[in-house]
Amino acid sequence: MTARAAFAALRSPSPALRAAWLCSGLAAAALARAAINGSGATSAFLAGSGFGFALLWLALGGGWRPTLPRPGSLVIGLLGGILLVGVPLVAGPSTRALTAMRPEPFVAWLVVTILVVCGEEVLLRGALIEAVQQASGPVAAVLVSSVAFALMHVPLYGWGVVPIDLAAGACLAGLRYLTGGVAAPAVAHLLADLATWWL
Amino acid sequence: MVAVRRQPRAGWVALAAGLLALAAAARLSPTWHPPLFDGIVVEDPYKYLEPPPGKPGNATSVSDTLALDQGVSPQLYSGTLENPPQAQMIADRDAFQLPSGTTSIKASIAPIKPPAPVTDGRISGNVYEFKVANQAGTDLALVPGTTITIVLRAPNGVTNGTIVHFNGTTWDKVPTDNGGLPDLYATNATQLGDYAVLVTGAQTPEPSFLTPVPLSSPSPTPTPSSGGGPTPWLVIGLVAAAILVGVLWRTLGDREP
Repeated sequence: MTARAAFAALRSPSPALRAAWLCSGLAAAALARAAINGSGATSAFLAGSGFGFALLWLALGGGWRPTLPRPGSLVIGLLGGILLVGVPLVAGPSTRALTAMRPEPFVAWLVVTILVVCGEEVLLRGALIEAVQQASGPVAAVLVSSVAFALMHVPLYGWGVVPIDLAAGACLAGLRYLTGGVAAPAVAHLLADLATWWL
Repeated sequence: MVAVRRQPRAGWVALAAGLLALAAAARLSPTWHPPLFDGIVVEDPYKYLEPPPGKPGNATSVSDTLALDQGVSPQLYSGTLENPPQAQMIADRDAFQLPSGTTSIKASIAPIKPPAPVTDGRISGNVYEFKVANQAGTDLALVPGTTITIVLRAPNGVTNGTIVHFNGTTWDKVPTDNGGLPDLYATNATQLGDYAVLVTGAQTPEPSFLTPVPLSSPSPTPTPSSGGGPTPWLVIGLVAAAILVGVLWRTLGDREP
C-alpha cells in the first residue's frame, strides 16, 4: 500500500476503520522503534524521535487537530502527573531495579521524551479515543486506548510493564474525558516520565 | 471529525479505576518500576566472564561496605557497573541477622564460573555470586520471613529466561518476574549464593557453560559503562524539531472544547 493510500484510509469516514488503521500504524511504529533502538545512545535517541514523529503524523492523518489548552486542563494534568508518580511510590515495594532510564545528555533526553509524549497523547488520547468513541462509546474508547498504550511498550520493555501501563493508560484516558482535550493527559504523562530521571 | 467533549462522569470513573489498578499493579510487582516507560532505553552489550569470540568480556564485580543503621543492617542496593547492571541485589533495612560485634556489612556481587552444569536447558550469560558479610568476614543470613531482591540481566535479546539458584549440588528454579526490561529478571530470594539465568527451548548464539569447573576468583577489573553520547547535530535537530512542533501547535490550534 502506498503512503497516499494509507493516509486516505486514516481519513476514512468509518470511525471503526479509522481506529483499526491507527492501531495498526501504532503497532508498526512501536515494532520499528524497538528494531532501530539497538544498544547505543544515538540509535536509541533516533528511534525515540522517529517514533514520536510517526505518531504525530498518524494522529494528524487520522483527523486530529491541535487545540489550545485551557489553564485548568494544565492544572488537572499536573495533579494527574503527581498521582501517576505518587501512587506507585506509596503502594509499591521499596526495592528498585535499575533499568537505564538516564541516558545522557539530559537535554536530548528531555526533547525526545517531550516528542514521544506528545506523539502518544495526540494519537491515543486524541485521534484513537475520538475514533473509538464515535464507533462504540466511551467505555470502549478508554479500554482500547489503554490496551494500545500498554501493548505498544512491549517490544521495547517486555510484557512486565503491561499491568502498570494498562492502569496508567486508564488514568490518562480519564484525564482526557475530564478535560475534553489532550493537554491534561500530556502534562500528566510528561511529568511522570520526567520524574523517572530523578527516581 | 467530531471532537470528543468533556464527559466528567466517564473521566472520573476511568481515573479512579486506573489509579486503583495502578496501586494494585505496583503492590504486586517484586521491584519498583516507574509508572511509564517512555525514557530512552540504552542497553550496553552483555559482558561475559569468559567471552565467546566476538563478544565483550570484562564483566564487572562490585563490593560495597555499609555502616549499620541504628544497630541493624541498612537498606542495601548493590549493582555491577554495566548499563544497566548485569546483577543487582536490593534489601530492605534490618534484612540480615547480625552476629554480636558487627559494626558494618560488606555486600559483594561477582561473576564466577558455573559451579555445576544445569540438567535442563543452559545458563545464559554469567553466573553471579551474591554475598553479604560483616566486617569480620562472617557471612550473614537473612532474617526469617524477609527476602532480598536479586535482579539479573541476560544477554541482549534473551527474553525467555528463568532465574536459578545453586543449592550446593544442583540448580533450583526460583519464581521469576520481569525486572523492567525484556532481558531483566527479578526474584525475591530467601537466601544468598550463586544465581544465574536459565534458558530452555530456542537457542541463542552465545556460549553454553555446561562443563563443571572449579570456582575461581571473580574478574577484578570493573569497567565503567560505555553508553556513548549522541552527536551535537542530533541534539540541535531535536531541539529545532520540538520548537517547530510547538509553533505549529500554537498557530494551528483552536481553543479546547
